[in-house]
Amino acid sequence: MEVTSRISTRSQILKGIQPLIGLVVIYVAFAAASGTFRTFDTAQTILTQAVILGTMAAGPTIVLISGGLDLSIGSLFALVAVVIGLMLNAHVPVAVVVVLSLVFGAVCGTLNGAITVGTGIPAFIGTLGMMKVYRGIAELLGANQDMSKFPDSFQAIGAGYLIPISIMVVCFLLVYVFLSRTRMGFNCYAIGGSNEVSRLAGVPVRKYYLIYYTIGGFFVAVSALILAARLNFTNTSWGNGMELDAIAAVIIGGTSLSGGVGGIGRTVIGVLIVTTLNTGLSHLGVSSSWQRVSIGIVIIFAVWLDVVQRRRELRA
Amino acid sequence: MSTGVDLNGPPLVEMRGIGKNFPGVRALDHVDFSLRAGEVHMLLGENGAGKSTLIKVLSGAYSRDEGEIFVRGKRVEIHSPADPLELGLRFIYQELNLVPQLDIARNMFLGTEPRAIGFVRQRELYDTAARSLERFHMNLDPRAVVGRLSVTQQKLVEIARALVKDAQVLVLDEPTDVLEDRSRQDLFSVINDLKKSHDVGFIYISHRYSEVHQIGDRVTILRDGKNAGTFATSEISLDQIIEKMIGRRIEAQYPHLSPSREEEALRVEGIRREEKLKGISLSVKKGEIVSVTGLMGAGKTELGRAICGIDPCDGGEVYVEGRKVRFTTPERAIRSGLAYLTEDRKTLGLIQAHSLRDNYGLPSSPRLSRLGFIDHGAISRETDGFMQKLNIKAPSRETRAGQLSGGNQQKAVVAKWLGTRSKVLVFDEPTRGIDIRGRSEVYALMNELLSQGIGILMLTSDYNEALEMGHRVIVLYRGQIAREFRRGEAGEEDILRTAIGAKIN
Repeated sequence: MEVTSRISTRSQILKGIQPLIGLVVIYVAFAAASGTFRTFDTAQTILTQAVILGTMAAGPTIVLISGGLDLSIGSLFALVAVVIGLMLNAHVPVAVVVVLSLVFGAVCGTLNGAITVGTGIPAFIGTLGMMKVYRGIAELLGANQDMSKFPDSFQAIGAGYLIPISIMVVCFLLVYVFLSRTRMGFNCYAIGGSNEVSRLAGVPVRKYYLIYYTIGGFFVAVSALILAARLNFTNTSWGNGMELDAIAAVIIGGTSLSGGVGGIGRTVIGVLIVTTLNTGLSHLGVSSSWQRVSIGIVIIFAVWLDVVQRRRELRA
Repeated sequence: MSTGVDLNGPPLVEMRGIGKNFPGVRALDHVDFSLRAGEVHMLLGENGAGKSTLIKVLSGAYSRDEGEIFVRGKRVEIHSPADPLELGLRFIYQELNLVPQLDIARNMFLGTEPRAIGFVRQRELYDTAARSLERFHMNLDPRAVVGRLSVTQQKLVEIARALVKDAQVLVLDEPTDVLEDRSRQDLFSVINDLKKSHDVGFIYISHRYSEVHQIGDRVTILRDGKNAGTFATSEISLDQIIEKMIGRRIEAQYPHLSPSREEEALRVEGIRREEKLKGISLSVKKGEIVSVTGLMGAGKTELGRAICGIDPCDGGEVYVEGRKVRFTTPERAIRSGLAYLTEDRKTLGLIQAHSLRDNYGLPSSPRLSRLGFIDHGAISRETDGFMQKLNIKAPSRETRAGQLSGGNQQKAVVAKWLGTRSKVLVFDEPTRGIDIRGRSEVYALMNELLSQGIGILMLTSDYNEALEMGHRVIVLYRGQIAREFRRGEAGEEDILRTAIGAKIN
């Protein structure tokens, strides 16, 4: 949480802690309501559930702090998954598949950045377009293909608890180091705070945007690799709406949609809130439709808190 | 209908004994002002004399601390921007306030469209608009899209919009600033017609003093927040007006400027950009302050931004310490030792929501990182160091920039740029919006920088500041250097005359 608390007045620190309190409250409430929820097993399930969303949300954390937005990551998730499936079908060695899919994800991320930075098209529109493009290409490539029954060495990436959770933790640590220790991470906050102030201060804003989007694409690929390995198949319909789930998790954690404020610690909590809520509600036998309703309410509530606090700060 | 200024009956607007204080500044001091039907009343004064404060009190943007306001003889309370509108007062600001995508009629009746059960009555809308435009002697097509009109025509639309809402008082804030000479005449003839035929009163703020006798009936001159006199324009000459405006002001303490060195810090040769900069050459020595002044729009800010690589130039060369620098980006300009300290500290100088420390570290981050990793410890240490050295008053380095006073924000901006080891600082309006004590501190700080061999190019619209804080003063007129004065060679009057393009002897 050091990154977030650095920009600190007392209220800022408080704001960083609020989502954590929310997470604890939600967990305790479910534990009280359901005996089976209180087990180590459930905790493990929650973490495993969190892996896909968590690795995916690592990217938007950076992109949103910099003031950008990438709506195409859900479709890119499907496209990377299809590319993985096709490569494995063609008996490409697993190590090569891993490396190439990560590179592919990153390059697509760069392309997203280039479209918005290079043309001046708003990120919302540019990446909305790419969302359709990636989905379409994924469908074209994956049509009538049986992409399943992958080699054991590939399945190992997503098997059990230990490896996927470790991968997620490493992803979080990488983003933490990036945001809190590197110059590009430091400037990410400034760019999100004010693009023009940063440009006048000599920050190569456009170049950095490209890099932030590239990192976003990279984490999409990580996420797709884990899911493909765990389920032992891939499908062109994957990732539908996932871009919004990931952005929602980032925002519930307390990163600002308008940029300049946030951190990976917040995203971790946001992801855990979403998955705890889903897992807990399933435990209580609540349908997935009602789960969606409750996530929606949590998003609105989290952002409302943020708005209220910001208004109070402005008055202070 | 009257055909001249109505001298009987109560004035349209009367402001009596208006006082307004800001922290450390008495912005308005017992100002009396009145406007009669059918007159154009000019409001003149130097920057900071209180013109816009007075207008903001009238518009409800500021609440007054003392005094009373009367409209048509009745005492009124103006607390919010909605109040004066109900009283028939309209304000037309420098920036255009129209929806460019809509046509003239739509703009004129925005929010007050003739309606029947929720639907806009199209024909009535356009007919009324056409009739009104004719009545106002404006030769405009109500169906023309506003965004495609010339600036003058857009100004006219704004005036028409105010008039159809039954405005009797129009406040025009530097309306001709963006206009060409010919279009100014068009605007003037419309104003002249309107004041006669519609009994409208105009408050006209301008810094083009030559307009006083072209359009004004009376003139009020403000100086240091006080009314320095109200005159019929037929009874006062331009010379007398200038004299009244300058007077003797309460000023911030200026330091005794350190002498400059011989070596050159900055040299600019023939810098050009569109119509805004028409080939400007100048040089600044180490430890020297060169003031650049002129009217708004003369090219000061454009010059600073061009030198520092922020806006692209069409031609010209820049040398820092004798080495030619070719830059297209602020990044490269900064690396070669230039820093641009923007006039707009709030939106361009500091990230208001971020801490002092994060703001400080921003331009210095290349220097303060190794292999891409940033040295947070060093940023914190240097921030603390500068806060102490420049006497920045803030609880801690983690304080958000937006919480500081204007003077302290300016010092924070200076700290931020000193961190980049700049050799030349381009200050754009270094003391705008800063109270007197803060100004004295900023001046002392600038003087301190000189002894370190830093060269300063100061862009300012405050003539007194330009004279007192500059080893040399360059006056710009329409994108060109009109004249350069050595220290002590000129007074404020000479600067003012040069700035408005008048000949001096």
